[in-house]
Amino acid sequence: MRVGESDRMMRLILAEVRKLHRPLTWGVAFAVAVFCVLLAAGGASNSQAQRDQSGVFDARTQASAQHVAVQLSPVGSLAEAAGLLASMPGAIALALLAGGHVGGEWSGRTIKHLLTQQGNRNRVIAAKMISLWVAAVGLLAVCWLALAVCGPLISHANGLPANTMSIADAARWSGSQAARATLVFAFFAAIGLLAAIVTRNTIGAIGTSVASVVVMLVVAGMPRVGGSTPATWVQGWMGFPAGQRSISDLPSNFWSRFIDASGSAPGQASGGLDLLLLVAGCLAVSAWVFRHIDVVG
Amino acid sequence: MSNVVECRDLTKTYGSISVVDGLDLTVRAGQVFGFVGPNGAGKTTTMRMLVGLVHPTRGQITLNGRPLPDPEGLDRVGVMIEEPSFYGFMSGRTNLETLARCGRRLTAAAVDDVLDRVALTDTADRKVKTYSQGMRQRLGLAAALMRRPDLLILDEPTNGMDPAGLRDFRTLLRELAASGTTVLLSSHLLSEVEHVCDEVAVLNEGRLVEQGRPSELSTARAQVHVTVAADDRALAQQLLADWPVRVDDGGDLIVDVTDGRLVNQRLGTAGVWAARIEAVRPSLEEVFLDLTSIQPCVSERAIG
Repeated sequence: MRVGESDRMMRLILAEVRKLHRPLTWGVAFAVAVFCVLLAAGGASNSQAQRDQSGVFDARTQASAQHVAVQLSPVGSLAEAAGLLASMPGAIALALLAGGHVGGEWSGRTIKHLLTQQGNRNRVIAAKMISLWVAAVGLLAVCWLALAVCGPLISHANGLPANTMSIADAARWSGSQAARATLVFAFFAAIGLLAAIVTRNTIGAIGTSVASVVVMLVVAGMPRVGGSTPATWVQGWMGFPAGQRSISDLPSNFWSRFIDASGSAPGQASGGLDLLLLVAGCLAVSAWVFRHIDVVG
Repeated sequence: MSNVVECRDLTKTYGSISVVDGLDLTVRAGQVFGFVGPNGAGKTTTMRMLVGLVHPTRGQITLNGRPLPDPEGLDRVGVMIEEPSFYGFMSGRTNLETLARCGRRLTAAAVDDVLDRVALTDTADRKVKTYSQGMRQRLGLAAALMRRPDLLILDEPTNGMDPAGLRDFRTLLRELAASGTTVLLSSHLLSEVEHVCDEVAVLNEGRLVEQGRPSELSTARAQVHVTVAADDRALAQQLLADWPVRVDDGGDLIVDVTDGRLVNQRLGTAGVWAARIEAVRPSLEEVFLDLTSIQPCVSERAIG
């Protein structure tokens, strides 16, 4: 990319990120943060309730409660936030943002201004995609911050056992989950982008994005086909344990509970590669459609 | 003078409907060019094709000497298509700053300068959702002018503007034209177009019906009104029979000829002296209605 071109691209991305400084984004960030904190409070409370009548954990519930304490520690809560945002809450959040940020360009009729200032539609698609991804990373930071502040208080209030994982181990685990989550964010962003460009309005983009994720999860539960579908690629890539059916502890995600536990998820590498290809495919289709549509609104 | 806009056989169809049909159009540098036509004539679609928002079904477009599609060429084109829409959650200034980042790099003062030029400086920091329609139009104009374009494409730019806004807009157009900016302007305010445009194209049902200077268009449709004494009326009609002649309700002869001197000479030679001979040129509005006239509906025909 030439210097002038990269400068243009960078400024376009900044413009798109600037557009995300809007009530919708802050509302979604607030809602997701509240969801994470309430879920943490619920998970910690359930974990605490597993103590016997004398208030002591048995060996199994002790290990489980310790894990919850790790999830609610300032460092470990990054992994918890990454897991939640790389699953259904993140998918819904990005569907909302894609609806407002991309589909809203048509609903608000601002797309004509954007395209008359920047006629290169491939650049516009790339900037929209990157800005959505940046927003998702921002949501992760907000949720981490909320859990890092509230998690230890919730742990303490529920009398959970002390966090036994070293900070280094917790950082490695959290860092790995957060890094993996960024690819899933790209996947959710690409779905939202494609939905917005195909439907060309806010509500259509949100509805289609959410419906796509639901269909993915339904298909993943089907016998034979469910083993290798986009939903199981996410599961495999993130290392989500299969079939978390009850909320007896703090769930690490809101994804694998919707997938039949009998289905075998692909490994991490395979899941990651498949997701990467899917993101590239969604972007290629989005760019092709966007280049060929007329802007008439 | 070089051509800034050239369209050849420009066509846009949606299914079996031709919105623009084989349009040939040339706009020369430095002109204020008016684009008029009834609703659905294809003006907005043509303008959208010129700036790459709509893909032509057939034909070629050259802007500033560069054939379309040419995304980089938009750097030299300012555009305001239909009612401008902005991000309501941002202020007017932030909207412009955000749009400024979308294309070629601008100077730091560009946004302030253009806000000043459209008289929005005082309200630039208010959220756009609080703007009136006229203020949005001004902001749209600011967005179009921000890059100091060589070519300005304005579709109905005065919708919702108050009289002061209209006056400012007229002044702005004259300043732009004086500075060499080419302006392609579509408007239903035909008196406005007649006053500010060097040349006008009339579109109807996607086709170019007529193109020329407003004065030429109306001169070509001028008629000569002749007032003669009642006793001379029949003779005068005979003398002027080389041209279509009719008698209006007041008894005046209306002759379909553009030059009053020819009528005067014909009558004078035969010794018929007219009390009045006047070449009446129709306004652009009358020319427009004549060129784009729609057949009366059945009930009107039955009555009429």
